[in-house]
Amino acid sequence: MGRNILADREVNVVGIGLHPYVRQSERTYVTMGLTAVREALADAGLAWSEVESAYVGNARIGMAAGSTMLKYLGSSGLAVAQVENASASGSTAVRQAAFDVASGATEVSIAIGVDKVAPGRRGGPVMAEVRSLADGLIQPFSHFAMLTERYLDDTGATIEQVAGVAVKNHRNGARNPYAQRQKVRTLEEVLAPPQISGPLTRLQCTPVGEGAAAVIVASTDAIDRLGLDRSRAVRILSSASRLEEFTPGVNMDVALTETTTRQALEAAAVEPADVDIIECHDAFAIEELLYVEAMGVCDEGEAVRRLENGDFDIGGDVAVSPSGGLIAMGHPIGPTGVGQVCEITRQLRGEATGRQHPGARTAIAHMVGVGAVCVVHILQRA
Amino acid sequence: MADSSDTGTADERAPTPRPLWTVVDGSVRLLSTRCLRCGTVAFPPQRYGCPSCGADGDALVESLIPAAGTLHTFTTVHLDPKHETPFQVGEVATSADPLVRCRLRIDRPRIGQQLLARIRVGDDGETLEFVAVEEEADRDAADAPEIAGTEEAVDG
Ligand SMILES: [Zn+2]
Repeated sequence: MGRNILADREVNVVGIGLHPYVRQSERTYVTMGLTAVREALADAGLAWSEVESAYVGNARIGMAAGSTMLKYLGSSGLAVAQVENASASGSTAVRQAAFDVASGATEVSIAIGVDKVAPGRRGGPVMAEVRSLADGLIQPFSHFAMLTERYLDDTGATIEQVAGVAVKNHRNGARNPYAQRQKVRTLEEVLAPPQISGPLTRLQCTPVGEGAAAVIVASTDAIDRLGLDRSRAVRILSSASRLEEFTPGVNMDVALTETTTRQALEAAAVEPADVDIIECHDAFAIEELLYVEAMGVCDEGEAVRRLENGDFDIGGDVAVSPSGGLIAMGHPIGPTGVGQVCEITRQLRGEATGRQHPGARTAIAHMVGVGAVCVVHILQRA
Repeated sequence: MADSSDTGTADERAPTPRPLWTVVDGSVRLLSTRCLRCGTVAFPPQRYGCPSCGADGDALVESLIPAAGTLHTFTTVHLDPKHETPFQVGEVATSADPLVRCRLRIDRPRIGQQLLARIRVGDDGETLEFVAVEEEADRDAADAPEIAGTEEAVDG
């Protein structure tokens, strides 16, 4: 592993913007993307002409979607690339923008995520000669339903306890004006039909909608030179990105999050116990329980007890998915990883009105995507 | 997701798919790929390269593994616009290593129970599904149905 270039030169989040996550709508991706970018520019107090490179994360809207959209912000000749990394597309855009600044290639860069509800086209062996005995029968929700069954059997937990994740995240989402689902839900409501797969009900699963998110990153020099507000800047301490390893006999989803998070935490010299906020890839309720244990913020087999104790609530030991997570804020794919950094920045600034986790200083942004890939960032208040 | 073989997207230029099982002396065997360099056994079979060490070409050989094992996990799928629901899928831990994702047909699925494969002949050809050994024995006693890998099941 190479050195942490984010330790060589400080990279700061200076502006955040979102278009709310919504169900399929008549709005174009251009309208949503520009809304998020303009909100981020206003938040930073920055002109578009100062942004030197842009990475646009999406997975469903096709070639050159990013570059054509950015023309409507005025001519500036910036460097543009579209980033596709399945559900981690937005997180990967953040990583590339941060690396541009860290390397000194740019002073100010932007990561954007934007997507519409549209059928993505997948590549890889699934399209060629590798078939399985269950071709087309195991969608992601069934993969995680199987992990849920296994977790219940291994730990003796009940589905009511697992569904507690969704109750918490719906409660958080109800306080987030950008969330696709903004309704408090009781345990009974979460467990009510429709049943999707096995013990998974609709409200334990993420709604895949559409929307946009933008994060502007800048060097500390640029903050001073451009007169940006240093007190609202949030540092990106490290970034880790990994493809899963072939490790038969262990839960590969858990192993991937474990190794990626450990790499990011070590690079940032942050202990799991120091983390105040986690924005977690909770596309399905079971994932939060598996991943908080894999991240080391909670001992193995302890997640259910800690959840029931309120330790993962806003105001608890570590607020997990204060935005509502993928379950309530939603999962428009391209924007999701960028939106996590927006939420974390808002929390670390102390500006998350109505859902502020007190004293938040250090945070983990965690996404997983088909492949499987995992991308983790560690952020900290300056 | 641990496995990328779970999407239904088919390429119009897809090559003829590899067979996934065969019948040897009346019993079903899964066709897998064994790596001569590191010993990894992978299912489904493929020639692209060893997922563990990357070896390719002659280092990859076809290997037959028992179409039986224990139930690692399972689910009953209720939402699927392309298939009749509900149906069961799961992962079977085979003695030869790989976790095999497959269709199941089990009355009372229980993690850890012994399973074996059975060939089902339907309108769209043969499919392989895993059934519980204990339930199969009960059924066998009742009315002698098609059992995994018997000659009748294959010819049928
Ligand atoms: Zn090998």
